[in-house]
Amino acid sequence: MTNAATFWLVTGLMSTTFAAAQHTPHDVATALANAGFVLEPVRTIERTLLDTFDGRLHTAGLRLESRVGHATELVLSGVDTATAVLLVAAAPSVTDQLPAGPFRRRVAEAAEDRALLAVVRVRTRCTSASRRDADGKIVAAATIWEQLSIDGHDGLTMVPCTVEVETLRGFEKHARKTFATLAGLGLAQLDHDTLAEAARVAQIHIGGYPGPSDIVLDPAMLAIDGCCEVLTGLANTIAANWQGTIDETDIEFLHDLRIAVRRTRTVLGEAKKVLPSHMLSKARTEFAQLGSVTGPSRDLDVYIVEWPTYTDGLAPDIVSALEPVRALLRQRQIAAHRELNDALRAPTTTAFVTQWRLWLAGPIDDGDEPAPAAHDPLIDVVAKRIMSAHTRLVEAGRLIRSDTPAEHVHDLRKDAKKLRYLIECFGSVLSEKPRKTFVRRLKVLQDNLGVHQDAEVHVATLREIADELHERGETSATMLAVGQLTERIDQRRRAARAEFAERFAAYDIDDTRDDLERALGRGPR
Amino acid sequence: MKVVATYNIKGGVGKTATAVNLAYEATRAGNRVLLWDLDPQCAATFFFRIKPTVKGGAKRLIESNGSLAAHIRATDHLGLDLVPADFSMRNLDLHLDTRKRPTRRITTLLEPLADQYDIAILDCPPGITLTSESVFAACDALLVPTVPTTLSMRTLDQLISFLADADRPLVLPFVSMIDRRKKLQRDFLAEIFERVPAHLPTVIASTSVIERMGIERAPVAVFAPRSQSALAYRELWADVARRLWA
Repeated sequence: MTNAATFWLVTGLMSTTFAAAQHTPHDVATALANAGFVLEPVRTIERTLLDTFDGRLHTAGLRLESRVGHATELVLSGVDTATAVLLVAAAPSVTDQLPAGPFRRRVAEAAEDRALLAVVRVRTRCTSASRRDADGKIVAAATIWEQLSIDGHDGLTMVPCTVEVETLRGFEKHARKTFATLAGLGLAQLDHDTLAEAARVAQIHIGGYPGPSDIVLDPAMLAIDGCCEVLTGLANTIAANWQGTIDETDIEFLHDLRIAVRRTRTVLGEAKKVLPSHMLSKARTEFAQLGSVTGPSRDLDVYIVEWPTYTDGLAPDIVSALEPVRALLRQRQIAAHRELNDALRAPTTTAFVTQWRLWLAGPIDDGDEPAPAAHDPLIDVVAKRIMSAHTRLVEAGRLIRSDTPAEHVHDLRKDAKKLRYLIECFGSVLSEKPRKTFVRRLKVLQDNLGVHQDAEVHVATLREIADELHERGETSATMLAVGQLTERIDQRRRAARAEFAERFAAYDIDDTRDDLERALGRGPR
Repeated sequence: MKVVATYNIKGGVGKTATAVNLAYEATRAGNRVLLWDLDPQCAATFFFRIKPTVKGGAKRLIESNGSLAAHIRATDHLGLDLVPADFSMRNLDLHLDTRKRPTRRITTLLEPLADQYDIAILDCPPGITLTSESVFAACDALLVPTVPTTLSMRTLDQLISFLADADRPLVLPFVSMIDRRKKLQRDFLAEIFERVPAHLPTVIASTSVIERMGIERAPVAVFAPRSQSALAYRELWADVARRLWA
């Protein structure tokens, strides 16, 4: 067939890939032609594997590829599912740019609000080949890909030619025959596809960068080594998200950077007896500063993203009267990001981050007098710090009454977060099952504290904004709408506060402590 | 997974042409599509050049405790698969009748495929039979091609009144095979839109390009992508998608 739909015929995705290290595309084409395949004209195609920065599509078992030739097509495949193909004007950078429908829904469910970025891009020349039966039905399909270059990795060479053979549903025996033809020619079957091979050669990690749960620690290792390994992972996360935060690629870069900074601060705070004091004090000061500059931007990001949720259910005239509020929040968000970017670009900040990573990478100079617990087994130190964080949380929580000032509840939230971060960072030395049970219970409490704190912050912001709008002489409709929205969010805050006692009581039970003891390998009391 | 059926009590109204072309257009729009040929004439199967063979016949298809998976065949278009029919499908009603809950059978067979496809399109034989009842129970919407003639209008009225219950599928009639040279048909067109507000706005004209599907054995957009008929089917799919995912 030679018409507009030709490029759209079956071409290998979720297919079996063969590498032709010793053969030219012409050799492979000849072998396929001899096996009864008809070859299409050669086309130049730019293939790009798309995913979020943290590999959410990959984690969800999806694979999204854009193929740019005469047209741009997106190919979405997954395990045990049919492949979907969508013609688009250009590859999307966010899911909202996809047309509404199941294709967008599937990508959006996995990617959420994250930008779609090029993981790896390869320029290729391709030849589609198909074999038909007596009725003209395609029963076997293969594509020969000649790799020209990997974008951004000019010096690298990968296998010059790959062949992707599609196993067509209901025609499996024909695919097996094609496999035999290619194997007979001496081609080696790969356990991954062409783009994954390009990523491997370019040393690109397809599933995003590793998180704290990917770090496997030995409980018996020295505490200082374990802490440094965790801090190295966190420093890598900070570095990985640095540029995306500055570029505002999507708001999750700042979120991930901020969480890594907070986790770092938690580990530093709990490792006073492990890390050398000369490094510790400087690092604590610098990370505290980094944490504080990321706060306003993140709060405003959340406000803007959650705006539809805040205003959901309000009458349309109220929502439109609130537009000046949203515009002001947006202005503040832009200003906050500008300040954040200035801080992240500041030579002192970048120099510290570089120095920190170098310090972590190098041999640890803990001086003549190592910190007292530096050479203790990691599990001992971790168990002590986690139990202490849990005890602190329980003791502080028991003091919360209905009239306790909000800042004490906020402090409690910080205690809960520190405990959670410790468990996440050192999770691999804990027993998995009781750890998960414990975290589930902690999370319920954290959710309550989170709703309360977010509402508290948002009410305070709205009151500030109301003052500013009043000074500007904003319309009474807007001022009334701000009052209505403030009251609504404050209701949520009051509801969370009223629910706190019950949530905390559900956490403050013997089972919680027993699970934690078990997770730490101590066995219940 | 949404399930739609091209259905009419009357035969020869363009059900299969609609099923085949909409399946193709739905696939072009980025959907994973399963087309199930339920008609013993096997025309949809023929249009995709697939052998009209149901392994074990309609009896095994209906009585098997598994899903349709083993019967699915890839078409030449990525994202579009087909469950072929063969002549044994003429006995589908008889086999359904042997089941305990015959009208649930098609639903049960489709359920395991719900995560694999975004939409299943069922190409139905004409008539109101046990098969149709099972189709009504399985689908979210019935696409009813309606030729602008008195008899066609009458059967549409019969169908709408038969499916008047609240839990029945959405009925989406559309004008099919119109010959605009005929004044009577033009007059009916206005009447249909007035009488049936749920009518989809796109009108499919009777054209030689659609007739050529039998020669080309492919959806219209494959061999005549810029033809009026190809564009009409694309519009019709857009109408349907809006109603399904509104």
